[in-house]
Amino acid sequence: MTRQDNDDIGEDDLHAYVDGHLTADRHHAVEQWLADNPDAAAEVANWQTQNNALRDLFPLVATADDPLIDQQARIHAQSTPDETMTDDGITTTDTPATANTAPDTTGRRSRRANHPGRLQPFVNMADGPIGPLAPPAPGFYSDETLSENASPRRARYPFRQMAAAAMVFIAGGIGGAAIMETAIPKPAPLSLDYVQTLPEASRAGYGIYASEVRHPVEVYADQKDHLVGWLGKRLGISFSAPDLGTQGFHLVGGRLVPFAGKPGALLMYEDTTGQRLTLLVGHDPDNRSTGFRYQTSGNIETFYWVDGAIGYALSGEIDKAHLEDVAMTIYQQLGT
Amino acid sequence: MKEPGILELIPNLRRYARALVRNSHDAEDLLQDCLVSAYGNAQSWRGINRKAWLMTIMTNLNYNRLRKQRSTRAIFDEDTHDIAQTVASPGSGDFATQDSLHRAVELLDPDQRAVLMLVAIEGHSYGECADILQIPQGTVMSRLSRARKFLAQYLSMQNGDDTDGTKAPNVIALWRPK
Repeated sequence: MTRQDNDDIGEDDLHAYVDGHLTADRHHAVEQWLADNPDAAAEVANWQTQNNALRDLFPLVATADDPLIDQQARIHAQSTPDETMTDDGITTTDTPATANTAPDTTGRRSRRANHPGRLQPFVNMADGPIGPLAPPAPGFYSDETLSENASPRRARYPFRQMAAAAMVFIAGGIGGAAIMETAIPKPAPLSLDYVQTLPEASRAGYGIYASEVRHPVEVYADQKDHLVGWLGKRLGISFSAPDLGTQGFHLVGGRLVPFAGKPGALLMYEDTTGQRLTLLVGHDPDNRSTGFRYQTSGNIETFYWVDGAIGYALSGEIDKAHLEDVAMTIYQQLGT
Repeated sequence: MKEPGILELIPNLRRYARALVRNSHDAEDLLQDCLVSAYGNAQSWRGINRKAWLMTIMTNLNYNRLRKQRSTRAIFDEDTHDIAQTVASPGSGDFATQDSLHRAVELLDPDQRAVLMLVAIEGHSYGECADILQIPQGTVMSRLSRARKFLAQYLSMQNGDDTDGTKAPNVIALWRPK
């Protein structure tokens, strides 16, 4: 009723509402405020669902007999060694912008088509329906099918792969047409070349330097401050090296590499088995954010995305799910 | 109200340990270390809120563990990969969702994870949470906020291709990590 009294309701109140830490009066006030703020109400509902799901996921455990271990064993028995859910044949994937701009069905379909398995695009979801409409990068649907490796791991879901490929084709057609027909205020589109250069350059950097035993980097991690200062200065950005310790990788060091006609930074990480990852970072003021994209070529997997003016590409010879986790960690840490 | 004994709190402690630690064997180790430490330092308990006191011990032990781990070993193990790859397999239904959540929790920053677990699962107040983690309450709130928004983001990604699009995009929490 008295909405004006509730102007002081902030996010902390919403958390306290979800967690049941409000007084009855305040609880009531928040409830009323939520009725007038559907976006916040949706978020609050999401948090409540999370709370319930988390309590289900982590039950009180009286003894060390472990349901999780059983669960893991069950999964282990179910999965075949070759099973990875990569949609290799489709590789380049990114559609959040489409989801925002094209009619619902199209966006949905293309999103699903591009990712029969796991779904990566999320950068633009952050802008979401209330944010600025991001333009689709030209050539959005010109999927670069680089992986010629018809590996046995695709065999498990041949139909899914074929269907997915067909869907990409169809969705690309419909989505493309829809976008052309829709009057979208279009900011300068992201240079196609730049985005395409990312995975290429990243793979190149990985291929060249990850196998380099004696001089994988120019500056080693023991001079990290110097390293990030130097690379940041050359790229013209405030720069930091993500900490991938939680993912099992530590920083080896970095080097300056040419990238899209400018200086780029190549950081190298290594795990305790000597497995390496490279992160390519490039800066271009004309860049626009994209969703996560994924490309596989030979044994090298690459995730790449543009966040603000900075392009990132992460390459390694580890499985896609793990690489995605690492990419997410980097995205989280380096988000502006 | 009578304070529960240490033994009565073991289920809570085990749950918290499992939320903090990826691997349930490590969680059991963490629990044991915590109990040893608690009995060894029983005199340091001030007589109020034994559960919070135990959670503080466990949190600190876990920080030490993480610090050691960072310099000694890779965390990923094969089981983790297998779970990851099963996430989107057809027909896994609710289990896939639970598994997605588990993965999302694992991907959380450890500091944010601790806050979320204490608040959402253990039901501690923000003030208690601040005491347990020995951080300001404002930090509790910002970590809680970031954890929740990360989970929403992650799960929305997972749901995007599992649901029929019945979830409108604007139901998803909008979030930029800082």
